[in-house]
Amino acid sequence: MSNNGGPQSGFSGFSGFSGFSGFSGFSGFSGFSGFSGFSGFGGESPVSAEALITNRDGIVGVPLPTHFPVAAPHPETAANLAKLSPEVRASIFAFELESHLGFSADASGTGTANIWQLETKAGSAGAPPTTDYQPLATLSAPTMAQFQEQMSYLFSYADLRPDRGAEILSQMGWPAPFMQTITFMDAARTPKTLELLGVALRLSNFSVMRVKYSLAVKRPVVFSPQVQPMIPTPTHGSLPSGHATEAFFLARLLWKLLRASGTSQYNQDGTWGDMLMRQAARIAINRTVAGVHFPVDSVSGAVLGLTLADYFEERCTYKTGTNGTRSCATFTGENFAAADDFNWHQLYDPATDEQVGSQSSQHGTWMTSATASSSKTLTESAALQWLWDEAVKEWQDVNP
Amino acid sequence: MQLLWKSEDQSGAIDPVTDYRLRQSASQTGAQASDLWWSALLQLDGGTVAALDAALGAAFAGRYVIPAEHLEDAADPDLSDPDLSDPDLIVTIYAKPDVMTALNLSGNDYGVKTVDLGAQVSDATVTAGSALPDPEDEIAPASLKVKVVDPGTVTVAVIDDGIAFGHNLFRDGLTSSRVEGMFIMDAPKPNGSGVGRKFNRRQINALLLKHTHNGLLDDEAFYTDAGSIDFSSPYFSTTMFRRAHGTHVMSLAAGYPMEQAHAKRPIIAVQLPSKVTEDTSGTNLAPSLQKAIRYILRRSKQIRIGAPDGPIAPLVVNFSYGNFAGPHDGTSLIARMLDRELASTPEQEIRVLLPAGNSNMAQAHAAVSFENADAVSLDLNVMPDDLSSNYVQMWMPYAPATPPDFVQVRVTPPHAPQSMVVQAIAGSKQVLHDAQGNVVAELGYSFEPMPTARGVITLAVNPTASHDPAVHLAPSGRWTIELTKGVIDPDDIVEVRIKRDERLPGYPNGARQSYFDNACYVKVNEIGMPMPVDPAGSDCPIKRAGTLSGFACGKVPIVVGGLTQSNGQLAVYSSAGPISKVRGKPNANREGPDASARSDDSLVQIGVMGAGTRSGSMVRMNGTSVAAPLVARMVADGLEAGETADRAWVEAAAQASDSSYPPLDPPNPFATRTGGGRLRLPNPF
Repeated sequence: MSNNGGPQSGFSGFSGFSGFSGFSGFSGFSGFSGFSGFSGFGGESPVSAEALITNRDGIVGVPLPTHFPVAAPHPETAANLAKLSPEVRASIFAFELESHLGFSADASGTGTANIWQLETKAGSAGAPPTTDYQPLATLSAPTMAQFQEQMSYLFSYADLRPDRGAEILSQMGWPAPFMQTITFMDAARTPKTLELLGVALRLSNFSVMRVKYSLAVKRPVVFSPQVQPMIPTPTHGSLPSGHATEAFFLARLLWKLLRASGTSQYNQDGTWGDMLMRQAARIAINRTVAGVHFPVDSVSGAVLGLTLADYFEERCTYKTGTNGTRSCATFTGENFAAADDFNWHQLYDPATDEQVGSQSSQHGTWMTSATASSSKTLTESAALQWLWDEAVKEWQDVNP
Repeated sequence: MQLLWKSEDQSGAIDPVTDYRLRQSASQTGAQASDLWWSALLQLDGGTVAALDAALGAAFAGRYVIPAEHLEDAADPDLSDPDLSDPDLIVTIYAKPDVMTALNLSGNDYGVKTVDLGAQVSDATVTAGSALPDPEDEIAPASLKVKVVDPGTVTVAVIDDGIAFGHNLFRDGLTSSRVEGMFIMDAPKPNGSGVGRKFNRRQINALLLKHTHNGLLDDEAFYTDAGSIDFSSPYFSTTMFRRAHGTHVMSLAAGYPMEQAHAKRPIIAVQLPSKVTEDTSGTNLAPSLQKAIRYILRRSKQIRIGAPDGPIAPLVVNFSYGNFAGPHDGTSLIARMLDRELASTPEQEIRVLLPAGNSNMAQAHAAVSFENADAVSLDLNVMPDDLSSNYVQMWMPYAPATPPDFVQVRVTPPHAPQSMVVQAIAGSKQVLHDAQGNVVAELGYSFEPMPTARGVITLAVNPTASHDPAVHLAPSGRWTIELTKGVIDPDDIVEVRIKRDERLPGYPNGARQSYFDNACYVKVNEIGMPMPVDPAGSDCPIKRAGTLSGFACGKVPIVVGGLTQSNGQLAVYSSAGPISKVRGKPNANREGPDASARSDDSLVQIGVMGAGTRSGSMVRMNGTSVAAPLVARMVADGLEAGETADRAWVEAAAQASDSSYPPLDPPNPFATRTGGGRLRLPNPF
C-alpha cells in the first residue's frame, strides 16, 4: 500500500489516504490489486506503444470508406459511471460532495468553525442553480484551562501503550482493515463499498482539516514535556481528532449500508452497529493512549464524523420530488466538562441510527444534533445515488 | 562515592525495618514526613483492642486510627475471632510516624509485641477506616444480605489484583453475575468520601445492565463506573490492561462459560490496593490482607445452605501471592494470619490455596552452614537503576531462651571498606554513610519474639537510583556479606533471604531484584538446560532448596507447585521446600508444596489460558500463581462432591496421578518439590 507521507504529512496516514485516494483512485487500496491485471488494457496505463505501432502497421490495411452506426452518448447519465475508471469516478464524486459545502469562522473566544451544506435548486436548463446554505456542523474549542484539566488523561492512558502499541502503529494507516474484521469487505466482493469509503474519507479529511486549521488547538505535547507521544505528533490542530472523525464517519456509513441492504442479520438489532462504534471508539481512544489527542478531541471528532455520515447518506439518497432530510450538529467546547472522558454512548444510538439530541454539563449544552425535513425541489446527485445503490447491493444476499 | 561505616547504638526498635523505613521517610521527606499516615499491623501481647485504643488515646489523640471495622470485628460474636483476650491478637492501625515509633519501641507501654509497617496511606483511607458502618455495605437490609443456596454449594473467594469481575466467565447471564461480593480496596468512592468500594451481586447486576448495549458490555465504562479504572486520575489498577493477574487467576478458580454457569459456585473477590501488590516484598501486605480476609469471611457467612439460618457453605480461598523473605517456619505474620483466620471452624469448612512461589532459580536464598568452614561469603549483586530499597535477612536458628552469639557478619559494599562486625547480640549495628553523612545502608541485629524466637541480622540497602534528589543512593554492584561462625551447632543453618523486589508487569515501581552470584552457583547443565535442583554434592551456599514462598509455610494452606503439562516435569521456577523447622515441635508444617499442577501447557505453549480483562477475551499466564487456582477449582469440586478436600486429600490425589507422568527428572528430591506428587488437571477452557 502506498502511503503518501508519514504522520508529518498532516494526514496521519489514515486521512492521508483519503486525500490521496480521491486522486489516485484505487491505487491505494491494496485490495484493488485485483484490477491491476486489467489496467494495461482497460485503464489509462499504456502497454508498450512500440508493440501497438508495429502491430497496427502489420494488419491495418487500406482505409475503408464505411461509416459505422455509432449511437449518440447519453449526457448526464449515471449509467456512464460504470464505464469509468475508479480514479475518474473519485473526482466526480468529490466534486458532487465538496461543491456543496461552505465554511465560515468566528475567531472570537476560543474560536468557532462552521461547515455549511449548500442546498441547490435547478434553474432552467443550463442556468445557475439557486442556492441556500444550511448549517451542517458548528464546532468551538474548549478553553486552555479545560485542556490543562484533560492532561491527567494523557498520563493515565499512557500506561496502556504496551497493550495498544501494535494497534496504534497499524492505525496510522488506512483504517479499513479494522472495519473489515467486523464487516466482510474485500476488493473482490465489495469494490463499490470500498470506493464509497474512499470517497467518504476524502470528504472527512477535507472537512476536518479545515476545522482543525480554523480552531488551531494545541497538541498535548505542547502542554507538558512528559507526554512523550509514542508516535510523531501531527502538525495539524488537536481538536477535532481526525481519527475520531474518520472512524466514526466510516463506522456509521458502513452501518447505514448494512441496514439499507435489508439483509436479516444486519436488521435484527443494533449489534453490528454497536461493534462498529466500539471499533471507532477504540481507534479514537488509541490516539489518546499514543499521546497525541485529548479525550475532548475524540468527542468533537465523533460528533463531526457521525454528522458527516448522515450528510453523506442524505446526499447519496435524496431524490428530487420527495422530501429528504437535513442533519446538523453542534459541539460547544467550553460547555464540555473537562473532567469527563470520551464516551460515544453520549452521542449516538446504533439501534436507531440516531444521534443523541443534546448533551449538557454543569456549564451548559455541549452537543446538539437535529434532523429536519428538506424541500422536495432540491437538486439530486445521480452519480452519488449510483455509487450508494451499487454499494448497498454488495451487502445483500445472493438471490438466484 | 565515598562511603564510611559507623557503629551506632541500636534504637531499641522491635522491628528494624519499620524503624529504618520511618527514618528514611523523615530524612527524605523533611518536615512533612511527621504528618504522613502509615498503616501497620500490630501483634498484641495479651491485651485487647479496646485497651490499646485507650492507652494510645491518652498519648496520641488524633494521630492514630484503629479502623472502626476492626473494632466492629472484635465485638462481632458472629466472627470467628470473638475472644478479646486472644494471646496472639493482630490489629491493624493507621498512625503517624511518632505513634509508629512509640509502638515499635521494645518494652513499650501499649502491649505491642511486634510491628509490621505497611504502606503509606492517604487521608481518604484513614477517613474511610474510621467510618462505621460502611454505607455501601449497608445498602441492603440485613435480612436481604443472606443468600440461600442449594446443598453442594461451595463459595470460592479470590484475593488478588486487577479482578475484572464483569467478565463473562463470572456471569450466568448477560447482565447477571455469580459474584456475591466484590471489594475493590483502593477504589475511590464516587462521592469522594473515602476509599474502598464494595458491591453485592444485585449492585453488580445493576452495573452490568447499565453498561450493556445491544448485547455487548462496554467494559471500560463498567470498570470506570465501579472505580476499578479511572483514566482521569493517576489511580492505577491492572484492570486497565488486557491481561491482569487477578482476572486470570479467578477464572481458573471459578470461571465457567456463561451458558454453562456453575449454579453452585458463588464467588467473593477482593482486589488488593495496587500499591500493596506493586511492592513485591510483601512489606505492605499484612494490613490489607487481614482486611480482605475479614471481608471474605463476613460475606461468606451470608451464603447459607437450605435456609437463612442453614449451614454456611464451605469456602475455598485462593491467594496467588508469594514472597521470598521471613523466617520460613510458618511463624511469619502472613503465615500465621492465614493459619489463624482461615482455619476451618465447626460452623464453616475453609480451604486455602497458595502457590509454592516462582523463586526456585531466583538466587535469592542461601543456606549458610559452618560444618566445613568457619567463614562463608555471599556475593550480593545489587542492581543499578533500582528505585526501591533492598533487604537481606540472615535468620538465626530457633532460640527460645537467651540466644547465643550465633554468627558475626561483616559487609563490604562496592568500592568501600568493610564494615565492623555485627554480632547476633541485641544492639549490634553498623550504619553506612555517604560523603555527606546520609545513611545509605544499615546492618543490624534484632530478635523476632515467640513464636518465631529467632534473631535476624538485616542488611538494608537504599535505592541505587532515584528521580528524587532527596533520596540518598547506595552503590550498585557486588556487596560481599561475610558470615563468621559464632556459637552455633555444626548442623545449624543460618538461612539468608533477599526480600522480593521485582517489577510486576504493568506496574510502575522500578524495582529490581538483587541476587546472590557466588561463582560456585551452577545455573545450567552442560547443554545449557536450567538445573531446577541443587547439584548433588555441591557445597555452594546458594540453594534452590528452601525457596518455598514465605507465605506458604503455615499448616492450613494447600500449597501448589507448577508443572509443565506436556512433559510432566516440574517448572524450573517452581519453588521448593524444605521450610525451616520450628524447634520444640516434632514436625515442620510441611516439607514443601502439597502437590504440583499445570502451570504451563508445554515448553512452547507457556502458561495456561484464562480470562483477560475484557469480556470474551482469553490470555495466557504462567507461574505457580495459575497452578494454585486450578487446584482450588478441584478442591471446590471435591467439597461439592462431599470429599474432605483438604491437604491430605490433595496430596493423596497427587500421589495417585503421579505415575501417569514420566518419572520426575531428576527423581530426587521429590517431596520438597511436589509433595504427594503431580496432579493431572485439565485446562478449564
